[in-house]
Amino acid sequence: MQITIRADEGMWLTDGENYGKTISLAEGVSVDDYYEITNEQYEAIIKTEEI
Amino acid sequence: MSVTEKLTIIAQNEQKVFDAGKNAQHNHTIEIMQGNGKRTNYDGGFACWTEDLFKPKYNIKPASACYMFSRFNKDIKEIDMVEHLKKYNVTLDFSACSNFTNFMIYSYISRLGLVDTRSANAVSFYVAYRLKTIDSLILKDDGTQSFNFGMCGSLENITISGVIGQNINLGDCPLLKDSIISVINALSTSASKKTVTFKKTAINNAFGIDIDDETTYPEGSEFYNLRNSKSNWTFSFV
Repeated sequence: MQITIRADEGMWLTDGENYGKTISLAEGVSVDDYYEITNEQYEAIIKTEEI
Repeated sequence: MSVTEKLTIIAQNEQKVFDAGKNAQHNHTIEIMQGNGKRTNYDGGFACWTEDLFKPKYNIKPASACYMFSRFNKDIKEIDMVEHLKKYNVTLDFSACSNFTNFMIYSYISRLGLVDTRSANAVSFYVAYRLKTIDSLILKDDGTQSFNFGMCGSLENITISGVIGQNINLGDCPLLKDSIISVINALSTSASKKTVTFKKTAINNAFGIDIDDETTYPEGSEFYNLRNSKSNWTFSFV
């Protein structure tokens, strides 16, 4: 069965490496591996990864 | 022939002579630039070139393509590389290329043909923001390559052979249905704890669903089956 988790409005889900608004978990991956960050936090992370 | 007639002929030929001189100079530049056909390190090779300047004389087979087509074509005119190279009867062969770092950053190339990346550990189309089509992307079969499709905001068409075994983020790419299927089919069946990221609207439009409403892709539906075919992968939608 596919487990899908969704970020609240204005938030992003991340496992520390990947980001998404809606995440369909692989088999064996726990919901606990993911946590929410704010949009501002996400934008700041993306900015540091840009050239 | 009178002097007047001679002067008329000279004036008529002036442009032809000028153009011939300009072409000769350009051919000389290309000869040097391509090392008389022997060049393999194309780092920055055609950076900031325009379509009018890019008239290669020899087949291009880079061993390194770092920034090779960066900011290619400042005239803000998209270029179909497949069609362009046909005009000059040359090929662009990446099969020996081990370095794709920023090779198309801010480039106006809209289409590439066959891109064989099997000599590279990292495949980067970072900020290839006008790239719409990659006819054929060949990956290694061992699934070890890393990918960067960041800010590929025009990428719709991509056909992949080989194996995707590492995280791949296509969240900026408005991929069409066949391309989404190609990506999913290429995902390694043995990878563990890896994530593929898609643009939500691309998925929704391709399959006529709403990824946030699971009733639109029930068990047995096309997208459900496709996603489930790679249940060892986490699918992220942005």
